[in-house]
Amino acid sequence: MARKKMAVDESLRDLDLMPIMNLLCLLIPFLLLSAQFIQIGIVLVDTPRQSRNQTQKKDDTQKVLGLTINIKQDGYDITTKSGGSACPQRAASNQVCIPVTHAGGKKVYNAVALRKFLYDKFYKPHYKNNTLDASKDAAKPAGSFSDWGKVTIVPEDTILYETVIETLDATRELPPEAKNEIQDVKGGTLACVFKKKPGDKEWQLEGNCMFPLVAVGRL
Amino acid sequence: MVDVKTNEQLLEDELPPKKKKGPWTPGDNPLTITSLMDALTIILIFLLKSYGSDPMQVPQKKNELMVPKSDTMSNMVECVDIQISRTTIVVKGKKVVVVTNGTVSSSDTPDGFTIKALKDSLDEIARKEIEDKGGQTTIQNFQGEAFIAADTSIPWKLVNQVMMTCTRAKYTRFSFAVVKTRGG
Repeated sequence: MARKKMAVDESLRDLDLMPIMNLLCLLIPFLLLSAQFIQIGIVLVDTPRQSRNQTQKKDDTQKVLGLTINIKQDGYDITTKSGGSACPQRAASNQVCIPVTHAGGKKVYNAVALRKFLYDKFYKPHYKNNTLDASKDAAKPAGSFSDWGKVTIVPEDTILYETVIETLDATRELPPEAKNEIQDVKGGTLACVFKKKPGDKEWQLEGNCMFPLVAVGRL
Repeated sequence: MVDVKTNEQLLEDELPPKKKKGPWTPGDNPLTITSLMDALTIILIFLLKSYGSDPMQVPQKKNELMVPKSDTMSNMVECVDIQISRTTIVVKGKKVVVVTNGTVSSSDTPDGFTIKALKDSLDEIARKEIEDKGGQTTIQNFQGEAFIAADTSIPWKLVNQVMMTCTRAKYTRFSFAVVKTRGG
């Protein structure tokens, strides 16, 4: 009888958690050191020269858009190769297309207005005839732009780097209203993503983009 | 005679008997670590989820190097990383040029565009990359990719000088580091 009682007591003993605790206490400092609490992403850019070298060969039926955004001290000035200033009335009175605003004594570049302007003036009227297909042999419809999806950003020397990044975002991503207005929004999201598989030389574009192929610097 | 009990006495009757007084021994009241285990397991799972798998690190330092925010969803790939902070330009973790008030000294840029020390450093890295790749790549057809992490308050002129120097060292494609404001 006594032997049987002892066996029951043995099986009810608490599980020894100390080795697991030791392991956890070692793992946590290691993981704390290698944890990333912010996610770093990238914005791809080219130099204007590199961008020119990559432009597909233009056939006679194709046009050149030559979209350029100058970031000046007083705001964004937008020009095209074919038509000069994108806002001729303002240009006639020596004003930029999208002027800076002031908030809290600080100069603010209106990137939201820039995105809307590019979308209304350049993307919406032409997106049906143009494609961002990067393959050089892909057939392009007549009247399309040979440099569709490309934009050159020319900041003045004193412009802050942060403003340049805001401008890059404004040109790359479609505005929210595009979700209802554009018929072929892929995947129902307006994100524009550059992806590169290991071993690949070139970046691939995924999602819905406006003017994602950016060259930054003087022409 | 009726035994009348006060409220306190009734309460005492319901409570379990008091334990013996004296020094604590491990057998008396064993330490329960189950709740501690639960907490540690939750922390472990959270840390495992936020484990950094990016090929390069961008240290964020206040008043030194704070990269701007962006709504991009593109992820970085491994390439030559150049950090432009408020005080230095660092290439692959090695300080190469001193930055003062968002500019480099004229002695560092003899032609006004190319930063000499940066060019030398990039040439050295390019040479090593070509050696590693083997016979197919030569200095003529080499095309490198540079990852630039610059502070938000750096003027464009300095970033442009860095980009021009990279181009002259055959690093012709650029990716700017940003802090993602949306997941992906």
